[in-house]
Amino acid sequence: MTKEEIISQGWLEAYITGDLSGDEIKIVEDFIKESKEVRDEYKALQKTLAELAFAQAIKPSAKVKKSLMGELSPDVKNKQNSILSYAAVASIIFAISMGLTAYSFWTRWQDIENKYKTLLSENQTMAATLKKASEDYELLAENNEVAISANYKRIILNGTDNAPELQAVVFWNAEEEAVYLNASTFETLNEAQQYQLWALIDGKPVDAGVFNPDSKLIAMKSIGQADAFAVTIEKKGGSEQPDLSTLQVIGETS
Amino acid sequence: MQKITDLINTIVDRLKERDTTAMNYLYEHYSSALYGIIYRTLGDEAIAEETLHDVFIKIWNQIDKYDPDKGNLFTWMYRIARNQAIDVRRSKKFQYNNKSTELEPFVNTFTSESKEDKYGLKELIKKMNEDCIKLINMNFFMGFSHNDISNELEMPLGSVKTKIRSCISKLRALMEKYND
Repeated sequence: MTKEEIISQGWLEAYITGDLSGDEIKIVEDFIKESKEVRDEYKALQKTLAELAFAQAIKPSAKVKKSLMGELSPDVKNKQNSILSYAAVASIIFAISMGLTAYSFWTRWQDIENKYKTLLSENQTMAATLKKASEDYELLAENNEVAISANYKRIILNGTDNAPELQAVVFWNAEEEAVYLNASTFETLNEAQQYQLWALIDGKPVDAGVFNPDSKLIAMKSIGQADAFAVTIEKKGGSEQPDLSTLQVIGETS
Repeated sequence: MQKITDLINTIVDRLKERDTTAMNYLYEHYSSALYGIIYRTLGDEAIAEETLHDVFIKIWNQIDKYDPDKGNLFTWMYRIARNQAIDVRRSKKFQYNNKSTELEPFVNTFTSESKEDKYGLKELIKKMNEDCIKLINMNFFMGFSHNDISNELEMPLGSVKTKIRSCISKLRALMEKYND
């Protein structure tokens, strides 16, 4: 292809109208760039075309411009909107990130609070356990003191016909009128009933207190005199006189 | 000429900055010239106006693609208008409603409502032969490619190309003579 061919064989006309293929466009554009002759011819052709186009111009109706400009204005607004929406998006993102941060802090705070509560609860449990252990220890120590003390008399109460296998032990310090009971093997009664310890003095029963079965020694009422100790099943809170038909265990003090 | 180029550059810059007043200027100055091309290509006022609208939207949206090194702004807009009109004419919708484009109303005459006829082109064109008027009209203002013209007028493709070329040369010579 020569520049003369480009000029004389309709290439520039086809280029200006847009009827060339991609490869052909490239060829013509290269010629326009490289050859002043082609370039000048192209310029002249553009000028002629524009003049012809203006010479045969037709005015479109006003509604075209109206609708066009109406459409462009929103486009500019859209741009502003898009700026706004960028701001909106940015603020939403900011809000979300703040929300996430807040949520993160909140969850961490919650987490810490939960951990704190757990620790507190554990601490309370431990304190309670310690307190209980301490009390247990004191009680055991007391019990042990009672059990090994020479001042306490150990009285075995054996099962009656009502409960032949049952046993209880009373630790009694007559001088100090102190009574402790080991009734750890006793069965739990129903809500309405309680066991009651009696001290028998000259055949007369004296209330030594009601109890529920416990693994530990139970401190009972003060008793200074007793020939024997016995346990009956009474109504809750105890009775004034024992129901001997429910006698569980009995043991003499001497 | 430098001032016009500067003005066009300003217009292009402002279009790129999404300045609708620049678009207003562009429409005021070029819509009639572009509409003349679109209307002659489609032959239907409503469709041509819709197409003109779309062309200006395209200009607005694609102004960044305009490269001054490859031609002046009008050439770029002209190409968009011509191609858009051809695309519409090729569309099934258009072909269904307008079975064939009538050549007759436009092919042999230069009609214009424009006052921008500083070269008295209409008068000059009258001095040209009918074939030249027909070829220039078809090629530049009615959306016919060289091939289309060759088929339509049953003229060899080479002849179409050289004839158009010689017609333009003649026209340019007439214009220069008139300007002198």
